[in-house]
Amino acid sequence: MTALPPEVPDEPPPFWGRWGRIYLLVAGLLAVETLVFWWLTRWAS
Amino acid sequence: MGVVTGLAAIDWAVLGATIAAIVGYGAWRTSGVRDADSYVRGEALRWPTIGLGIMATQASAITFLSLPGQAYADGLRFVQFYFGLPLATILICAVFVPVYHRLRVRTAYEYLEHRFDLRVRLLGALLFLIGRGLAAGITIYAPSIILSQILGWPLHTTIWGIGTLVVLYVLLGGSRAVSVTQRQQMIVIMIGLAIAAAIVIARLPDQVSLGGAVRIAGALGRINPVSFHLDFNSRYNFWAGITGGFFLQLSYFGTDQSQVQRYLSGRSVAEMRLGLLFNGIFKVPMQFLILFIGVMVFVFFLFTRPPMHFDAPTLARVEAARPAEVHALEARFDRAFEAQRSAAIAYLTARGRPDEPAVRAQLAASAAEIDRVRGDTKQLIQATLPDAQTRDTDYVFLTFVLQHIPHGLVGLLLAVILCAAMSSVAGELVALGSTTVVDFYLRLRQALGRPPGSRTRDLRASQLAMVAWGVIVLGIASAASLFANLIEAVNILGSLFYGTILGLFVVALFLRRITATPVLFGAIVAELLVVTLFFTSTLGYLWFNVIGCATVVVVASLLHAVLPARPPVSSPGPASG
Repeated sequence: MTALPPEVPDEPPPFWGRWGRIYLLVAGLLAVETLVFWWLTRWAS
Repeated sequence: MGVVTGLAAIDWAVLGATIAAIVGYGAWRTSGVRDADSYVRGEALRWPTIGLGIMATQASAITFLSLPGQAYADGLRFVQFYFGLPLATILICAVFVPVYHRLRVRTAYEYLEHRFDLRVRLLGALLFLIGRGLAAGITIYAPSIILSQILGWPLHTTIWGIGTLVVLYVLLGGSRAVSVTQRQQMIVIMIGLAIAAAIVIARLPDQVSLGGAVRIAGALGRINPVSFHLDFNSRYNFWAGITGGFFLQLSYFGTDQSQVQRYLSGRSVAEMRLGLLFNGIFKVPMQFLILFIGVMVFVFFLFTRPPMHFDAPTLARVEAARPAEVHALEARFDRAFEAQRSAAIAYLTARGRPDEPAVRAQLAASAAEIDRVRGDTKQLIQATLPDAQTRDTDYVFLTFVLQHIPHGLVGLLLAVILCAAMSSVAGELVALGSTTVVDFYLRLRQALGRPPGSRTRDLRASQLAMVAWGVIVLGIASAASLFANLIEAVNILGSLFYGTILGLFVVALFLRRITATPVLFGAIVAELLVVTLFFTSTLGYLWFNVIGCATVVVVASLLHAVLPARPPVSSPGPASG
């Protein structure tokens, strides 16, 4: 497991920075899954 | 490979050993719990345990019984229901988790007191207890009725057998026991799913490849995981999943104590976030796999004659009353099945030929005839047994497991279903007990000026609350036959309360200037409105989530604007015992 960003409890929600990139990765995976499902729907119909 | 219709000794051995090992392991690993705080919090867990626990709490037994059947009848489109989950997870990780962690809360509703006051906390906790308590009863009843019908187990024995096991290890180890056993249960579930997928594909006829099976399923409308067509009357399309699903999952993972408790037990914010994100990443593929298994079972039954009606005990009762009509339908079904099998084989070999569209149309026509026979069968059941359920899709997967999977693996797959039942009920039970103790018992003792109880006394109170909720939930499960449609009942019950609870948290987190009294009245108005709409309108129940949340936000904002500003009422801080 790669090193995780340190916690700074009283800072505003960390949407950006290292965690932001992880969130983008999760959202990107959803986008890729959606595209694969869309391709599968078209291929099989 | 032997075809079985019941459980063999080896199945019982595998089933019993799997369940006993998990329960025994959980009891052993958590035997040192000695105080109420670690009993309800179960802290210091790493992210894999948190992630698997989150998955296991959400995946109830009915997921594994219903989802393959849903795909058998309707294809893969249900997967879109989960599209909002990864996005909701991101918002929870970024906004909810740091707040919960910073305040060291043990329940989500404790945060409401930090942000507003005790009244709002108690209202949020009460709404959760009512909604989740009723839903937990149905969570345990739904698989019990199917298992008892198919396996011939007495219904109440099945309900109380599963329930007693769960209460036993929850009683011994509390939240930590749930987390530890859920990890093992989820591993069994994943192994079982992989085996089920491999077997159903291996049992397709030799001339049917995986690609061919997908093409046949596609020709019959079962490969439909994404639709970008915006249709408000369609429950499952991309837009409904990404918006409605987002609100539903935000409420469930962000404010429902049965889920919040899973990640509050993390040893740091990073572990909590990673556990949540694990679920956010793997939930959609896992649900897709379960649905895909259902589609492959559908293709399997194109070549191997399926039952005319999958709820065999109900059909047997109809046959006893009206044998000639059932036999006539069976004969029609035999002819339709043979025609469909021939058409499916012809379609496989017609790819790229000029007559492919015609062969495909023939396949669709033969499948339509199968649907007509099944529809007539349901009408006959309805006419003969007016109180009987005609929906049989929940029985599809279990029928396949019992009749077409080798002995031993049948026991393992039944263990999967029982593990799912136990893990979700355990998560719900421990959350109900924790909320009762932390938000009511300990907090009200403090508010009444009573001295803090000893560690042993508080631990006993927590254990008593778990057992009490176990008895209540099992009582509800025993009376759950009053509900006509179980899955719908669970979702309706959730939707009646989720919107209001989410509204409280949305105001708390995003509308920082609104104080306790406006949001309290907003929540009361919202709940009354949702309940009124439920009894007086035909509105789809999923809209209750949006209406409840929006009403809290709007009413609280309006009251905040018109009510004179008042300094916050000072009250004793939340209980720390």
